[in-house]
Amino acid sequence: MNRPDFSKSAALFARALQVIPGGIYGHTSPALALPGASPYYAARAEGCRYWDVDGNEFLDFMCAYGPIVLGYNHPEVEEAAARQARDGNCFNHPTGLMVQLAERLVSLVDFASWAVFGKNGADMTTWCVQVAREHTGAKKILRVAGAYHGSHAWCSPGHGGWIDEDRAHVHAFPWNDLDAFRDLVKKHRGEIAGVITTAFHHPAFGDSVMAAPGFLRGIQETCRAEGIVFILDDVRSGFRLHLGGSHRVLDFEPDLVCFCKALANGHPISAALGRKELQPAAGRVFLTGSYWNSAVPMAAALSTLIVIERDGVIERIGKVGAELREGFVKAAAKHGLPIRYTGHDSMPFMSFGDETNFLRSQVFCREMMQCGVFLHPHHNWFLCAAHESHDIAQALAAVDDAMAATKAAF
Amino acid sequence: MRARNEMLLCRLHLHAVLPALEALSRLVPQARDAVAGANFALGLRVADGPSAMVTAADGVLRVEPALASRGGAVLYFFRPRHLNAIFLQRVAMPPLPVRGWLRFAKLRPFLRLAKVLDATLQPAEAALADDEFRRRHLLLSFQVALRAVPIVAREDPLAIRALKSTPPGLLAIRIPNLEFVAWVEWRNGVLRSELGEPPSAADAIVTVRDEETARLLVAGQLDPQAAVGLGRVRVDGLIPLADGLDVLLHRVESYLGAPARARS
Repeated sequence: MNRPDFSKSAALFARALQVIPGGIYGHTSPALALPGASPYYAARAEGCRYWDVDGNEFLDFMCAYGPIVLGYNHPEVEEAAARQARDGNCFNHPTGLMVQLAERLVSLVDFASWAVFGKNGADMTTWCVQVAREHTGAKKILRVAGAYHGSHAWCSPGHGGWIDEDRAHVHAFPWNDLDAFRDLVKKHRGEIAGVITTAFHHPAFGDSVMAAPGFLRGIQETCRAEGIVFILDDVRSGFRLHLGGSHRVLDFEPDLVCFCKALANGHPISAALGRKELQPAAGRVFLTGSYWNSAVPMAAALSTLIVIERDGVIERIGKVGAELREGFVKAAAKHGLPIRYTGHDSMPFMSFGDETNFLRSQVFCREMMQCGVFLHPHHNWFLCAAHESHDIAQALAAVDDAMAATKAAF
Repeated sequence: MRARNEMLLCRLHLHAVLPALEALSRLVPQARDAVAGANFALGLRVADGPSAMVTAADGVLRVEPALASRGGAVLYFFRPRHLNAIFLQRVAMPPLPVRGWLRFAKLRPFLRLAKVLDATLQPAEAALADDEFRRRHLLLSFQVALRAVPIVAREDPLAIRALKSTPPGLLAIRIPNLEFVAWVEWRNGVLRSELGEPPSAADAIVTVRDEETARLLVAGQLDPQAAVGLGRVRVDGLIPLADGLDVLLHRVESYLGAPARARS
């Protein structure tokens, strides 16, 4: 098999280094992926496939790290966005779409009576933390160790750019350790404004872990009893597990929920929704950004939500996700490679045996990319409605080869 | 961030920079010559701080991280800042000879060695044009960094903070052109580093592609993340461990690098 040519990606990266710190920063930095095996720059995409600037085609299982839930360039969503773009995007005022979208989301999320909008997940997680503090008058925030809630100073996984004071009132407990959570609550009783968790634990550089029975419900009960605001960060899993928020399938109920990624199938928008009791506090916490009222992403979000519901997208993604999982498990068994296939079928992750250093995962994903299938060795994957059974079959054929190569390499 | 921890800088000078004399005396002809006929033992002691002992005999130079209880000459520094000023060649009061002052005449080779070490670690740009010199500069620089990382890991607040979110593991660093192999292990709250092959299979392997890349990294002219993207540095395995080491190296640079020297 010929190795893909990435010369145009490499040339762009060299240019980027002259004018952009690190060339590419954040989660798409080459340093976090597989340089030499992965392209750096995309050119176009359609359905569940994308083409890089060198013309290499990839069957994509990262879906732009989550936003693409219907498939790239979904015609209905793009038509809705284009229609609004013709009328305008950025105005002195919000458009009626903002009201429509808030009404639509409030109708979908069972506990919510209001909604606000931003651009990125961290806009919302950080604002929800502020709302919790405003509502309770307390300052401490509890979070799960290793969970990702954005790149702001209170939660960034990066080493630089924050000071200890940024996190002086942020305390972490291990996922699925209800006792540790309760101990923290006891230790800081009366000082805790909120607790923020994801719907299931999906850290980078780690297996995904579903909630143990009673874990999230236990947090909810403690929060209710202690007057703590329970924030669900559904940025990554929202609209992939349930249209009304991931809590609906995990048997608990938060006070605030944050959405982003899949909300508008790739258009920039995030949202936070909350219970009625939190509405006064929400009104007092200043919230804005230059483009946060932009109309085009709101039109795209309304259209995306229609398609997700009408086409049974969540069930479809779950079904092809299950096919993918079964194929992986079979291929691993065939090659005698123990694997851990974790997370929800719509956003799974795979690692090898008891390996914690990802060496096998990196070899495996390099091989998959050689075969034109884009997978990430350190970050959970995403499926979308454009993945069909024949795409899964193509991926699984590559899995067979990649498992053989991984086995041979160690 | 500006480094202000004089005690930590003092420890770096005594326990990371000074031990580079050992390799210097093997690699650099002038240093080898200086050691050939030398016979001395010199202790450096800082009030309420670290100490070190440099000995030369039979053509071999050794640096130990503590004073020998007897023998040799000992120089006493009144505070860490005092020793740092001497290492940085700033105007400062000479250290106080407190032991073996009759032997001070024997220390001339040490003064020569110190000059060669400084010229090798902080070279003039023109000197780097010489292949052999550049090679020695890089090898010694990496050795200093390797000895420095456990020190910042113990004492520098930002390094300690970074290690809190760094997974445990064993990391190997390879620079094939320089025949440089070393390892760093972060486990049970302790960071260790050594020259040579790692004691077991590494969780992360950092490979620097060539000598020029190594030079640019040491000179701070190439961002490590960019180097990875350019394919000039390859990181296999546990990337967050390499990321944690990158923070530590940056902290070492903040104490010992050229900008830190210029402003101290």
